[in-house]
Amino acid sequence: MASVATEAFGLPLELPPGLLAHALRPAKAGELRAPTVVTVAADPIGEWDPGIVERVREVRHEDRIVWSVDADPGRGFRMESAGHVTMVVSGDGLSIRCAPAGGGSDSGWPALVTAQALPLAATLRGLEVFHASAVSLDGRALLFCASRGGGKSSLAAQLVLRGAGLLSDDAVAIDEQLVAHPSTGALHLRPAELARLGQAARDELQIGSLTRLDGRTVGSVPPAGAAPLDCVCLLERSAADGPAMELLEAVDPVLLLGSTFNLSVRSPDRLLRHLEFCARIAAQVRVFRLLVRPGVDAVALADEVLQCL
Amino acid sequence: MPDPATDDLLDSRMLLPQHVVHRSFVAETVVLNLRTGKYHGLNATAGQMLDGLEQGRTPREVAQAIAAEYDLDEITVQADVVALCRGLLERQLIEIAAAGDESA
Repeated sequence: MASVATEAFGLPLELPPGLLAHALRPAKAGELRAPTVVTVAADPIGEWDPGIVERVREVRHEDRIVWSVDADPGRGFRMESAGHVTMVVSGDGLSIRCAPAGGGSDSGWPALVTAQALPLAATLRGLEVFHASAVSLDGRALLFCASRGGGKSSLAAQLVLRGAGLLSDDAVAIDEQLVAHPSTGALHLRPAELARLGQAARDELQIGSLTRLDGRTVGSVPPAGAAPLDCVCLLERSAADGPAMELLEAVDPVLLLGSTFNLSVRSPDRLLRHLEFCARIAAQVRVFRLLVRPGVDAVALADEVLQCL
Repeated sequence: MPDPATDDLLDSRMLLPQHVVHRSFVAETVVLNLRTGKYHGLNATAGQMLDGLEQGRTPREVAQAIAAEYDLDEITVQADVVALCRGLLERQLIEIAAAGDESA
C-alpha cells in the first residue's frame, strides 16, 4: 500500500493512507532526512521479556494498568494503551509499528500515535518535546506550558480565532535552533470551552462530532509552519493579586525542566540535551508567568496575551 | 570515602566526573548527574564557586577570589566553599584530584 509523506514534530513521516484524521503538513520539498515510518501491524505485538526490559512509565486506573511504556536497549520502546493499541518505537525513532487491539475496530487508537508515539520518536531523533500548546503569530512561536487541564488548548483555540496559526494544542517539538515545529492541527476542547464558542467559531475550528473518552471534543485546523521560539508562558492557576502576565527576570529551571513531554528517555545524551535546551531557552527567550485567576476564561486570557506581547 | 580534613580540602584540586554536567540559569546553576538522572540546584554564588573549582582552583583560591570580589571575610567564605565541596563530594558530583593530576 502506498504511504503518505508528511511531517509533524519536526520529523519527516511516512504514514499509511488515512491513518491520521487530523491535518498534517505535507513533507518539505527536498527533505534529506530519513522519514520516520509508521506501519500498522496485522499481528499483535506480544509482551516483552520482563527480565530484559525496564518499565519506564506506568499509569493505573482503579488498580488496572491503562498505559505503560517499556524500554529495551535493543528494540526501543513498547507503548501500550490497554484495550486500544500497542506501539513499538525503534530506539533511533525511525520506525513506529502499531498493533491496534481487536484488529483496529477501535477508531480512537490513531490519536495515540500523534499524542504519544510521534513525540517519543521526535525525542529519540534529537528534538525536545514540551508539554505545551503553541501558536504562531507574525512568524514567531508562542508556547504555553501548563499541566493537564491547565487551559493550554482553550487558550490556543482563542488565539487561533484571533488570527494565530496553530502549532499544537498539547506537545511541541523544539529543535536545536530553538525553532518550534507543528504537531497536528487537532484541538481538544472541554465542554465548558465549547459552550463559549458561537457557531462561526465552531465552524472556523472545524469542531466535529468526535468526543473522546475524557469528554473533550476534537476540532481540526491546518497546522502552521515551524517558527522560531519567541516566548514561553508558564500558566499558573492563582488567586493572587498582581499583573496577570509578568515577564520573569530569572526563570526557575525546575519549571522549564518539568515542562518536558517525555519522561521515558533517560539516556545521558538526552538528559544533557534536555538541560542544554532549557538553559538556552532561559537565556535567549522571553519567559512569562501567566496567572489564570478564578473566573478568568480563555477569551480574557487570549486578550491579555495579545495585549502584553 | 574518608572525610577529608578541612585544611586538606582547602588545598585540594577538584574534578568534575565526566558524568556530571552543569548549566547556568539566571539565578541558579543546575548540576546534572547523567548516571542517575538527578538534578541539583545551586544558587548563584555556589555556581560561581563550582566554576572556580572546575577551572582548577583550590577551594582556598576560590574563597580568596570571591571574598575579594564581594569584599567579604575570607574565613567565612572558606567555610562556605568547604561546605559546598563536602556536599558535592557526598553526592558524587565532584572528586578530589589525585596529587599530580593535571587534568583539572
